[in-house]
Amino acid sequence: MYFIKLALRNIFRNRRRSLLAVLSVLLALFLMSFMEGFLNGMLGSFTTNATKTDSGHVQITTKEFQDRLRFMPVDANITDPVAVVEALKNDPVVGPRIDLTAMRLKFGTLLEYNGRNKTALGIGGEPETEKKLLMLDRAIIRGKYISGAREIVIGENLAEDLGIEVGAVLKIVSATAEGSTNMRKLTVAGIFRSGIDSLDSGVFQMTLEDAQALLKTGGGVQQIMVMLKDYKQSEQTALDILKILGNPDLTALPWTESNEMFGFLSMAEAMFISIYFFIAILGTVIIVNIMMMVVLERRREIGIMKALGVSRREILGIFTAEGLILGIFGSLAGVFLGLAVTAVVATTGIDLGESLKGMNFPMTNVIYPAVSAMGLVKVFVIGVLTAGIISILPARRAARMNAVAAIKSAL
Amino acid sequence: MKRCLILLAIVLAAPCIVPAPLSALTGEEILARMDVNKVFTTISYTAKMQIAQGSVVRTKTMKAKATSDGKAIVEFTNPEDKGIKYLKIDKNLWIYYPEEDDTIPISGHLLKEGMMGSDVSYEDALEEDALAEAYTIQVSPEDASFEGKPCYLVILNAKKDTAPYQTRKIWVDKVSFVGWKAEMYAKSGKLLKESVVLEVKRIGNADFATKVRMTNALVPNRYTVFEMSEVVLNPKLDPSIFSKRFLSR
Amino acid sequence: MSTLLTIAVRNLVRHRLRTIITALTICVGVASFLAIDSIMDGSNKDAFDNIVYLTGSALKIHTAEYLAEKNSLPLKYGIQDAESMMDSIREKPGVVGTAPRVRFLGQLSNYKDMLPVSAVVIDPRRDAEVFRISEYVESGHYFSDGGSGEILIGKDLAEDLGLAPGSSVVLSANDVNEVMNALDFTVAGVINAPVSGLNTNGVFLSRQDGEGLLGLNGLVTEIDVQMEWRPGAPFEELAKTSGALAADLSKSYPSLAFDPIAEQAKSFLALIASKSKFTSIIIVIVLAIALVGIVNTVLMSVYERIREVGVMRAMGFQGGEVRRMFFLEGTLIGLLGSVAGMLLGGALVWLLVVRGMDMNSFGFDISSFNMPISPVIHGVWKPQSFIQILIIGTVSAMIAALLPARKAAKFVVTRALRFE
Repeated sequence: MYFIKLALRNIFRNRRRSLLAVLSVLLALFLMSFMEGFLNGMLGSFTTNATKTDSGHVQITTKEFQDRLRFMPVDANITDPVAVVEALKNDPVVGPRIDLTAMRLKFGTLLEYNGRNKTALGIGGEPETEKKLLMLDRAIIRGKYISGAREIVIGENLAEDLGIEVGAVLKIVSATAEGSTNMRKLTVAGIFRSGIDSLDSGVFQMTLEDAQALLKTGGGVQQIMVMLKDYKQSEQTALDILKILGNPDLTALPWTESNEMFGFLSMAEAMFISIYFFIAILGTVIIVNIMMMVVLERRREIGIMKALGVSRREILGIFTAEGLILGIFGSLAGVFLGLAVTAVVATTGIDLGESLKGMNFPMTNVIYPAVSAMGLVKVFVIGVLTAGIISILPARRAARMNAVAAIKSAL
Repeated sequence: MKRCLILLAIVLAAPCIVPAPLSALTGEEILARMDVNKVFTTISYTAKMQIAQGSVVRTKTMKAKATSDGKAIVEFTNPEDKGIKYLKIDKNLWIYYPEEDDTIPISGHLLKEGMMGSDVSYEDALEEDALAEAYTIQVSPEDASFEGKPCYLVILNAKKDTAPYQTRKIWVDKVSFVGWKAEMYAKSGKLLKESVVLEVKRIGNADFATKVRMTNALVPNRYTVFEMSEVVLNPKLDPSIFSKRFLSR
Repeated sequence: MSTLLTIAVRNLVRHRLRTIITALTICVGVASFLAIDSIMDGSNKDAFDNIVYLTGSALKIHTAEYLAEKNSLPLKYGIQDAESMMDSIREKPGVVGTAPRVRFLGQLSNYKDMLPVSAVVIDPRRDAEVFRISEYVESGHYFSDGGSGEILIGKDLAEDLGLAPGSSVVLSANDVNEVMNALDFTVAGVINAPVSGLNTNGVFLSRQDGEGLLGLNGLVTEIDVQMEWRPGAPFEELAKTSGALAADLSKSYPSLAFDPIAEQAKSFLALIASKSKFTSIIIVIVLAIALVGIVNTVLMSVYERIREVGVMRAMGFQGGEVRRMFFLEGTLIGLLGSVAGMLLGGALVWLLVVRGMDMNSFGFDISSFNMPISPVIHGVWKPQSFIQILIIGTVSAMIAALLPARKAAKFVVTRALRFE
């Protein structure tokens, strides 16, 4: 116990040296924790962006829908989606993990206007929710976003092909869930230009209610998309959702299984992990460096201590304690600093710029670093352990030294 | 199924009129015999259409009224399609949707779409009106038969490249002039569609094909069966019903 | 100066452990940068390869009218005198092949099910000079001579319809008059390409059959041109030559639209641009850590050798010379670390280039997603990266050593001597 007292005294005795040590550890840990947050946020943003158009983090559909996915069937729907969403939100385990849920219908249609007709893809969703998913409200170039029933927003090129402008009333025909056809007249509220060719040339968005009325789904939807606060919980949440649903006809797929981008994102994740790994190594090396030097430069001191009769074990204890204390302070400070900076950057985000415009899906340009408690704890533990362990090695060497040789050694 | 509505039933049925010296019949004459249009000026009937796509079979029921000069109106009565109407005036076609009280014209590429999700296209239906115009007609010298009944094998070859089928073969009963079977071929010679008459009824002076099956030869588990009933010849029909305005009523 | 250098070197040798540890920090940073850079470039190159040889080509030619309706794959707006145009293009420098293609939408049926497909009519012989489809034929074979009656299909399509090489299928489509036609085919080969669109609904047939099925009458709606691309040369090189050829040709054929590779790869290039912004953030962080290592090393060494400095000053060394000595020490550590890092990095890159990194070992089927990347990605040699990092590493070390070195020069001699 008195190791600690001695260690502290030693530390404060040579403030400059100790400060240097703590600072070095702090810097290393700060960089590591910021890196952690940055990569986490990066991956999270990538995943969210990749999944929010198609599948969400978890996609709930009927099994039949998945089987016939190629044909985009409108007759294999979830019959009571509102109840499903309620059940999920009220569940004590899954509920808190949910960021948002979205009900969707996606189907092939025929658009008719003044004798001109064109096939197009219709997406029916709740307009407010879709602001966070399809984000077409940000791409409106003429008119405005959907503000009520019977309104649609349509891609620029598609509008041009049909010769329509804002305010035009389109007739939309589609096959229904009952195996017949139906038509609905909807007004063009706005025209969008997303920069993504597949959207601008072939897609329009309508309200969920209009889609359900057109397709005569009787309140059913093809899929419920669930976006989580932490994308990493997708697989577990999918399993949990299946249990909550308890319905053999329904299936919940995590994006890792349903989304095409999964492979790409895993690869990105693997890359990020290796980068993080390297940085962690670098950080440890710095700590090793510092601790080694702290001990090594006091060889003389150690020699004198030994000459005075301090035992090997005691010397070891003192130096290890010093190392640990410095390590703890430095790591704490470093992690806090990292946390602070990450939090600040998290509100403004890092703008990756216009370069993402050409991508195949609508994506935010800004990456928000995410703070993860586990991650920070990891970093902190690495810092402390490294400092402590690293102090042991040279301390052991010092402890074993011949007193006279130690005193004589000019570092 | 538009085709059956007016045309298939009409084309494949035949009036039983004065028998003519068989050997001297040309293709045109045979077709003319088949043309049941001569038997009525107006017609009304109810019909049932079964559309099979693999394991899924859907049934549609409808009431139809038509004239021999190319006008027709069909109203669907099955629950899923209730109130939907087709209006045909010569070569123009519209679908009326009751919920929106408005119509969609079927034109351009849409004509090639299958009606009501079947493999029978609007084009198939409309084309029947003018087979003689679009095709050259020959009678095969060979003896042909359908299920034991001796038939003429009438071969139609498209005059223009834009005709939906390059070749059509029709097995016409030598006695009743019912067109039992028809085969539609693509330019490559590949069989695309086939239609077979399953039931014939005598109504008035003519034999009508009241049950017909049309099959997609490329995916044989896709077929459509059309069945007519309650056929009334020459009912009193108000000519104004064949108009877009009337659809709303 | 050389005396200072010798002293600096000797000092470093004397404090071997510290030197090694610090240099190691830099070495690891440098090596990992090189390895990551190499594999990133490798995956980019791989993707480009696929874009150039599978989906795109160095230069795509269409008529302007065709482009306006390209989404519906019309069988009209053909290129006039396509044959003579292809011949003349082939004569141009840098061109290794030209091939005619016609894309259309059709349906493939095995008499039980029918699926919509995106089909391409190709001239098998000339197509092989431009594209590398034959390399991705997983089972069966590419078109045999002329390829009549043969068809190549994507592997997902084969799976969904239960087809294999030798199976009979019928392909139906609207011909040039928009009239449905159909032909029987035998599946010659199944394609597994790292482009999921090809696998899920890609179908290839020969020109002969295309004529029969669609009544093309010589119609060519697309000409693809392949240009020479030195193996290992950066993408920009091909982009330049293809852009130049496009500009040259559009002067002679003003009514046609020329898409050089840069246009076709636009979205992918954008992705790379954003990737590189991301990697530069990472590199900054890596460098920062390495710098911290150097600063703390030199600082520590300065402070623990205050006595030594005092002795040197007493012996007559100027403050400036003392400063230079520490500066040199820092620089040398940086240099040592960078060189070691380059060697280690070089070894890693060699491994990556020769053996590559098997993406499939991450546990998924890489062809199932829409990135044009193959299962095994090879690294690329980028000498300029090596040089870059050497300079950055050394310069950073120099900068890092400056401050502590200055500190060393300022010590008052007497106090320094008395320092414990």
